[in-house]
Amino acid sequence: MKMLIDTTLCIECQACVVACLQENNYSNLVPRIKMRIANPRNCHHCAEPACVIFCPHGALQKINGGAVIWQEPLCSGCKLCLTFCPHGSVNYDIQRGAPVKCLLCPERLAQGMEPACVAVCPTGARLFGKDEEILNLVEQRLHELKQKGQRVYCSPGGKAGDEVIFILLEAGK
Amino acid sequence: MPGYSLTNYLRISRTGRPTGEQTVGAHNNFKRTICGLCNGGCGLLVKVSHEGTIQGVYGDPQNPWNKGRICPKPMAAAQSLTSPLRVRYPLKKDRNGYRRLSWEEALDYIAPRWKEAREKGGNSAIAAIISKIGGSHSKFILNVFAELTGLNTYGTAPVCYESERKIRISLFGSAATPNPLSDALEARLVILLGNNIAQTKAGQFPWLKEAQRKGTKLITIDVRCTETARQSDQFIQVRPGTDAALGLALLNYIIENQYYDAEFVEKHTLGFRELAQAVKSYTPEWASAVTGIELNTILNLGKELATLKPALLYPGRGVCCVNNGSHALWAFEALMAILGNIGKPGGGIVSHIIDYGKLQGLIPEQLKAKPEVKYSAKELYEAMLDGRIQLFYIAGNPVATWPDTGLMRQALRKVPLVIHHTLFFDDTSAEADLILPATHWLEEAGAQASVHRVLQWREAVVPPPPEAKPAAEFFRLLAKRLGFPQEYFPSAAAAAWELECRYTPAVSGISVLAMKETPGGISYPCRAGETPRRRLYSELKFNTPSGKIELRQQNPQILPVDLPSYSDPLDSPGNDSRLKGDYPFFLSTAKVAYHYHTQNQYSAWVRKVEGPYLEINTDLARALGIREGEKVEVETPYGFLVLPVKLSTALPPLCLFTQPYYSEGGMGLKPANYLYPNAVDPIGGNFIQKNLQCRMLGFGGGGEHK
Repeated sequence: MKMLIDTTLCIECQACVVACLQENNYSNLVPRIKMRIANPRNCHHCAEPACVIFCPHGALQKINGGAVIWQEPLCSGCKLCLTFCPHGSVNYDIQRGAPVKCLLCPERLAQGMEPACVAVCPTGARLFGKDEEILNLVEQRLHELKQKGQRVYCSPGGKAGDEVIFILLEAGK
Repeated sequence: MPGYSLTNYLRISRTGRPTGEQTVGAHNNFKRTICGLCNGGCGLLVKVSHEGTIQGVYGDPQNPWNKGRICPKPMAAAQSLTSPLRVRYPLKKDRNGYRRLSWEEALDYIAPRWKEAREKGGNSAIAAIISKIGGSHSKFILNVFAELTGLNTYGTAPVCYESERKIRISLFGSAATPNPLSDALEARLVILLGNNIAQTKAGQFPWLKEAQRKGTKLITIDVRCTETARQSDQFIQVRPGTDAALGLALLNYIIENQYYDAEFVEKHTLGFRELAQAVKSYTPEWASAVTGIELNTILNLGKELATLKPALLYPGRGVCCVNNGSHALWAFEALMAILGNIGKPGGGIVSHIIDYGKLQGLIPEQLKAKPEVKYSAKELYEAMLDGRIQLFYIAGNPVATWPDTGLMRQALRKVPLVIHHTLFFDDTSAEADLILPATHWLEEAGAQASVHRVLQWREAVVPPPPEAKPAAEFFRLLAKRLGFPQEYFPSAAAAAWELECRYTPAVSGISVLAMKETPGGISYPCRAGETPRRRLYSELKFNTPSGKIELRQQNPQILPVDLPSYSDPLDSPGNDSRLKGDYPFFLSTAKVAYHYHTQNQYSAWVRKVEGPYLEINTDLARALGIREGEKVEVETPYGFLVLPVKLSTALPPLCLFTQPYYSEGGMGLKPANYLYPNAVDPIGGNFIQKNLQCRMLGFGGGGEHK
């Protein structure tokens, strides 16, 4: 399963950010994602996650479904994951001494639901589905957008790639 | 639902077929309701614990208006229900602070003083701000009470849509939105004028995206390259306060080139010749110089208006909450009229004014009372300051949301009894003598109107705090004390609606049961025994004196001028062109998707999203040496405020933007309205919240640091 974040459809309404806070309310008040077109921050659930590699305690792990999850009992709050995340997508809860990042809504996925952020997104900028579906959609969207003259690119993806794929606008006017 | 390609919409914007289960899982413990915030009409599913607390708010996949998607506001609204600042019982201010009262004691205090105020000062000695009065039950009871007691009431109109209301009544005889938003699917062109719907009605924005996918051209005309502008097919950037110039020039272009619908104009409008004469000098060349829009862009827009029909106009706060907005609204709505874009599927005007008409015939004439004087919102301040207002009932937060916060505070302090019926202890509570706990729309049943021109019924999702009462109950109890017949004050929302719709022609065919049984609710007008109508003016009958669209207004009671013209924003109320050197920038407030008026400040989640800021053009900031996050003092001739800077390339260098929602009670900040004067558009009467002269101290403005 993969998630597509198409920033060209994003209206920066922050429904995803608030839905995520609502979903994880019992955990903490620190936002797990940031959604700004110019600089979206969402765990990519990387194919080769730096946070997993550098975590000294094995608190971060990439599971079968592709999500990079975090297990509190193993975490020492050392912040190495924050430091090494190449996407700046790990936040930190000072009160609990714990990293805070998108975990791809494991409880919702287990019940056959979409992640909370995808369920609310009014414009369909966030989509979730089977690998093939999403990858085909990415190709389709990129083609559509380039036809319209938009200078877009996507973050590293592909079958063995990150679970979260971004479509982004090239910087500069 | 005839005419909508709902399934296509679902397929295009999602992967696979979304079902309710994908969005919210199994539906036990979920209660269905309709959001009561921006009047988009979004359906919600609310997860409620066994104890009766809200665990989460989700979109309702079965609601055809939002199909399971929502903006962040209802989630935040649910969270704010349990804010520590929620008022849970009546409070009376005394020398030592606040004393808790029972409702009995509160009414014992209020009722005789209400009676006395009217006896000594007349009906107009009492005023009521009712912008946050509550749902349909409270609105109805308040209207009944106002008819019986001659109460002057002020809703959100003065702050939000007064100019739009006056102009549209003048042109068409009614202010209500002529077309539903869903008509966008049938339009070939949609013009968003000073309207950032991607933020203000984010949950409903997909209708415009769907229209786009079907081939509708979406044009945004705005001062900033907003989120809406980015999603549009074309963005036309206009200098602040100059939209009327564009509108008048388009009228000129359409008329001079005879692109107007001559038959429609002849049969259904009045004053065309005078309008044509009035716009003769407003050429596209002139407008190009005034607005900063390239001449070709203006001419092409004119050509598209002439050929892409039907077309919809959807004006927003950018042309309404300004000191010269009436002209722009008049020009553009008249433009739609002469093009024949009225009363058609996909042809007309969309607005978030969604009234369905006044009560007719419920209260017998001999029981009706009238205010001796109806003060305008602007005049109300003076009336308070010099003692003409003896009692003020406030359901709302005017200290933060009405202009000139300092003056409003002073004025309220002069009123002997200020009653604040509120959810939260906010800036206005601090000026009140008596504070009463209100209920929230999540805690109430009622009929909810929508920008799709439908009425949907909601049930309460959770019980209110035990002592909280809606305005419906307050006025029912007060009316009893004052000796008014109780038959006009039903205590249940459903009974109140049945009574209301019986005496409101436009919704007389819409029962509670009918609303509940029809997915997506029922379109209005819907008279008893008739089919619901999706839009107004299909028969091209207008409630104006002539029965036609009155392009020219001959009655000075309706509008003080007879035709639109151009008024420079610097020469309009609140500004002074002579001060241009001292105050070189324009300050505007603009909404964001996660706030609603001042209410969502009380949501901890929303406070995490972003704090208050002063938005400045990136190039300007660089030139002045201001960095992101740096604190800057912004000053208008009326006040100053210190805010952290946020850089943006979306707004022009001349314009500074901030938000209208923050306040001292919520975020410990003086509201932006400390900077704004009690000034209104001279024709439409709307308070101004944008395009106000300002400077940043220490930068490019001259003047001494006070």
